[in-house]
Amino acid sequence: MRADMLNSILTELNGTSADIEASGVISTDGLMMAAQLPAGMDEDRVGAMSAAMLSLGDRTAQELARGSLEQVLIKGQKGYVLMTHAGNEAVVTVLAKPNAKLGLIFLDVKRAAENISSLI
Amino acid sequence: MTDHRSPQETVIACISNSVSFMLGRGARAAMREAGKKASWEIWPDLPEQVPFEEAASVMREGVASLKGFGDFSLVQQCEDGSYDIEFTNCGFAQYVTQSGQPCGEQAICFFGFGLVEETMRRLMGQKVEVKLITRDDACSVCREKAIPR
Repeated sequence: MRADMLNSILTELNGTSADIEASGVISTDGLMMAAQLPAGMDEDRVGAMSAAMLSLGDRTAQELARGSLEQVLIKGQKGYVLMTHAGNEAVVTVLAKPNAKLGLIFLDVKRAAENISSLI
Repeated sequence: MTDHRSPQETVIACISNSVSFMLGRGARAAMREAGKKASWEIWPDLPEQVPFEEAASVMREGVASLKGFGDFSLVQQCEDGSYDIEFTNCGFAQYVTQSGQPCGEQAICFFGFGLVEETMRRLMGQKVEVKLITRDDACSVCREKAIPR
């Protein structure tokens, strides 16, 4: 039931921009709660990476006096990975194309994270 | 204060605590992943699609063969589809003082959860999430559940 609702939010998020290629909701322990991922991508691996990266970002922001973490952004040759908290218990991870308009995606992801946070 | 841990135990405690310091709660995800990988490294050749009783036997003997990690028992399959697990004398319980975390919440505990999760998936073809339900310090028993996901 909750997974269906989370999937619905992710489907809506993926539909807001053609630049978003995939998204997932992951518990802070690294377990995938819902995902809209490309075929062949290992859900468990994405979950573990997302939880670990966001926590490392938290720690880095804290240690380097950057305040509370808002998001982690990774840019690769083939696109972006964006991670943000959805409440205290979950992480939203989004994969976007290399030419994505990030400003719009940031807004959409923030809105989705708020909706997910209210569900968890 | 005298530390009675072996050098190996001290190394494990240092690794676990450093990963926890760097990654915070994300250390659980990293350790869980390490546990899953370890399942393949430690037991590369496991039977597949085995019934509960055989899986329980393979896992009990497998953990016992590691020596020093405690006695693992896959006790029963419950009506709701979950599995009861009892882990006696878990080798990771000794790190609670240094980690400052109780059993089941230390990063190193998630190594064990990942190891069991992946091994159960390989043996029985079922994805599960392992969680500590209660810790009985008097009897040195961790009572856990493997919940299908």
